[in-house]
Amino acid sequence: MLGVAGRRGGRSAVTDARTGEVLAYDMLVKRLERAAAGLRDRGLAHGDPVLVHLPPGRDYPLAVHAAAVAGGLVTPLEADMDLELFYERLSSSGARMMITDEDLARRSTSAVGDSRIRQIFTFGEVPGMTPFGDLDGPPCPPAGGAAVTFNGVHVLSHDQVVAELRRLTTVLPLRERDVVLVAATESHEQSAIFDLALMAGAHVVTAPGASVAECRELIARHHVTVTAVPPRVAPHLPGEHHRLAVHGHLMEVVLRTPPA
Amino acid sequence: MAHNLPSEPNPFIGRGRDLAEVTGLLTRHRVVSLCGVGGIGKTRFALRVAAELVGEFGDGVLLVELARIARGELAVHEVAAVLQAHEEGSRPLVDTVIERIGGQRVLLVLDNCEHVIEACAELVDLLTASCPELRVIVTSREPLRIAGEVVWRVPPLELPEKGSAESSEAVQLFLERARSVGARFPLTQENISAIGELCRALDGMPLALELAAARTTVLSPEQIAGRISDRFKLLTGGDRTAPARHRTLLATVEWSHSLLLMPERILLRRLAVFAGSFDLDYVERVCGDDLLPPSAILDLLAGLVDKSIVQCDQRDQAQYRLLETIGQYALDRLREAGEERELRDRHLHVTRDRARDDFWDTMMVPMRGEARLAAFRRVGDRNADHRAALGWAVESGQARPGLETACYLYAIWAVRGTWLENRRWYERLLALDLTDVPPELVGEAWSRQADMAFGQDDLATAEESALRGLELMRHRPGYRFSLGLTLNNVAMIYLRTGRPEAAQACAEEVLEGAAEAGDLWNLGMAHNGLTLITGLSGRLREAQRHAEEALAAFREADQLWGIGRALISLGVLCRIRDDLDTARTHLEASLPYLEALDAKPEIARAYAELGRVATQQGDLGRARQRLVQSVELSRKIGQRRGVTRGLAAMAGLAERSGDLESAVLLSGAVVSLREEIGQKTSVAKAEEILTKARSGLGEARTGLLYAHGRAMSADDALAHARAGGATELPVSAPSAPVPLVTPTVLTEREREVVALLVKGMSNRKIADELVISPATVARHVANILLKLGFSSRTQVATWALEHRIVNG
Repeated sequence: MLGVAGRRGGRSAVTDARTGEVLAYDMLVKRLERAAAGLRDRGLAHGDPVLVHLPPGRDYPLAVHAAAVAGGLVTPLEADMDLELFYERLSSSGARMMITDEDLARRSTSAVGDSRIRQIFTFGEVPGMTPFGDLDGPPCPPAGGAAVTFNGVHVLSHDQVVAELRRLTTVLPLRERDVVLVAATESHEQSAIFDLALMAGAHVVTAPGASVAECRELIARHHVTVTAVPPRVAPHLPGEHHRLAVHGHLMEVVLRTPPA
Repeated sequence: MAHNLPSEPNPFIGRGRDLAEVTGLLTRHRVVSLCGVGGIGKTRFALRVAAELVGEFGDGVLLVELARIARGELAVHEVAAVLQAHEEGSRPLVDTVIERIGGQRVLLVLDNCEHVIEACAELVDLLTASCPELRVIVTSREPLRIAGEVVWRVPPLELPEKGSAESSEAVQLFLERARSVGARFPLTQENISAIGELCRALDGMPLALELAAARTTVLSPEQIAGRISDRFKLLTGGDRTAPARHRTLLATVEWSHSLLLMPERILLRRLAVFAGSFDLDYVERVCGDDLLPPSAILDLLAGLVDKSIVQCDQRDQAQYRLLETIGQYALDRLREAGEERELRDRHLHVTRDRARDDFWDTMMVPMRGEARLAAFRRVGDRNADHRAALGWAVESGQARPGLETACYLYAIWAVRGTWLENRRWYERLLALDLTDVPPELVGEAWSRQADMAFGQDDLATAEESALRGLELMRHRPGYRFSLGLTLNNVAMIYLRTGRPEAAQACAEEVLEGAAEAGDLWNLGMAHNGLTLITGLSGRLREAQRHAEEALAAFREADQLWGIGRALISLGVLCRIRDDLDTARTHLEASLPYLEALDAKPEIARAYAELGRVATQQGDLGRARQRLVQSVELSRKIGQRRGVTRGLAAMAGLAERSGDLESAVLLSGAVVSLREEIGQKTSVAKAEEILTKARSGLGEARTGLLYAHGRAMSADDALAHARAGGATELPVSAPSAPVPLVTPTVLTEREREVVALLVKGMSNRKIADELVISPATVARHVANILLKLGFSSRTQVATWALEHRIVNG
């Protein structure tokens, strides 16, 4: 994916609907590579779990892919996870590193204090933690064999992830001119739709958890062609409705939404 | 010094991957902060990381323990002490520390920073910004929060998986510590699984595991697990505000405490008043009373050591200490028992008495040099407790015991040159209500404060305080040791402020009193002072006699420091009189004494003098070697005056070896370095070299070299001098023109005095001529000698004529 993305230059890759910030493909790749090198520099070894505790949004693909490129076992945790469960996952993962953001870092301070996490990287400034943007290190080739686990139990190898994506591209063929609105909030849904969109060179607009009205407004503003939404929102959006199975989970996708 | 890391008290268990990771981080990052709750093993881990890196940091791996300091501003003093960076006049200590580290590959371990975190953050930020090869490990509950810091959270030890308990780090630590206290339970499937449960309950916290393991001689692992979980129930009623790990540790400490006998508990809480490590005598005197008979303390202390609550470092005499976490717990218990004030009072009084008995009194009695040195070191090493006691004296308004303590410690502070901090102690104590303090003690304290100010080149304060102190002490008639110290200080202050007659009167008063009282220290110091006073006024024979008398007094008292100093004085005097072989003998003889004391500033001075002697003897190879040693040593301890002194001597060496170009270059460097540190003395030599160069090399070439020299750093100048002038010399001028002459250092009035000196007039005649008092003339003459770096009026006159300062 990195190779493909790198060739797309200054085209928009991800737009954060909340802040309006836009990340172009070349910047995305540059930041990914730097962050991955930084994680390796900080001691990440091949196959080490890296917890990604982030709300859905623009930072999410950056964190997931940086950890993957660095050779980590990407372990996304839902942002709104119950604190007890979060703590349980922190301890059971055996992770030494975590990527999170300002709000979540503050909320989970005591649980993190009781974990075995050695280093924490944050989007946004949190005193005493390393800003994700500061990660850097000597360039290193992408590590093969990265993997991901959504529940901390079942591990999907890189090959499995790629195979699943290949299958999905036949079910949901995206193109460069597509604009994909991600309103879904589940981490595996986000991962899949991001990967599909970015592989195709499409433009992703992130608005996780957006309401029906917000979705409608964003669809109109950005000329969205594909929307991934939580099930409760899906019925209220016009268009062609699909349910895709992603790694055994069902994801609601609304296609070719006509311009409002 | 390659490192000062303590030897490990017992085997280090586990953390293999973490060690590799953190040592790796330190090769790429400047500051790594090891963070985590108390008892998680931050210090032990940091020491282990540091030990692994000793080979990588050839210039030193140095531990700075900060747990025992109470105020943030003391952090830099602790760092300076460990680095042996000596204070230098009024220069900020941090600058000296920066100079000391410079470009060296040093790893500092700042241990237990949390209570002074802001000061540490500022310090580390400054040091890493200025010292490119410095790396820092910090241990703290909180990070420093500075740019470039890698925050690394120290986890507890790895916990056992069910079924494979024995191989986990936590279980291994527990078993190792249990065996080391003598537990002999067989390893069965059942108790291995109980130990595994216990380790999980204790969350792999090393301190908790050690406390639990220490009880295995009387309780089975199952019993311990059961009892600790009962404790947890008591503690876990509250909400999850504090991390669970902190509560786990607290529960274990509570449990361990609950098993102590009542007298053990009383002793433990009372140990909280000690700031540093403590020996049995100290504990007996501070903690013993009717409730806790001193005779019982040894056994109780041994019991606490067996239970891993008190740490014991066996050296020549057992030294005990509390881990930070336990110390904090003990302090809470002390407060709860309402004993804090009482115990702090006792700590203050006993600390004062020990300073008096173990050090102050020894200065007045005959004693072998090694024993003297041992006393000096032993008492000097109690700095943490001295600070705690003085801090309490200030806080509780007890001026008298505080001032007594500070006055008993004065000689240690003066010899070590720790002016900055200790001047403040006198000032803070003198600011208290002094109604009930004897004027004699107040006077003594003012005089000691004056000496600290003198060390910082703050002559105005030194003079004012010294005279104030002397006046108060004059209320009591008769000579005594403390008055001898005061008069010797006043003599030096008079000399520096241009009143040699008054200085001489003071020193002679000491001679008389000290000789009668058999006070060899002050006798030697008075002769030392008179060596300077008479030498500076050109009475070399008298100076020689005083230096010999000083040496005799210090030899009789076996005062190593005094002997070393007196030998240097004799060496300098012999050199001035051109008796070079004897000069070298004296100077070389001073080295073993100074080395035994590790008195680096004096060693650097002896090397410089040896270099000068060798230069005058024409042994230029040896001269260069000695001068390089001197400058390097001064560089290493951050003494800029020592650096310029050595480089000036090197300029003389270059001139002597016929390399006029290097001589000019180095003179330029010396003059600009002197300006940088505001030193106004000894430009005569540079002027002499420039005059010679102008005729030998021509005005233009001399100007070019001089300008280049002025732009050189101390390191570049040293490199040039070390190569014996073999480095490339500049061919083109730097962009900014630089004045060729050395700055005019003499004032208008001083030039007038010089003009009359040239005519061979006495002070009285000069006074009449200029319509000023003879004392003022004497002050001018002393200043002129100091500024020009000469020791006689004749030298001044010759120089003035040669350089056309005056028309003869």
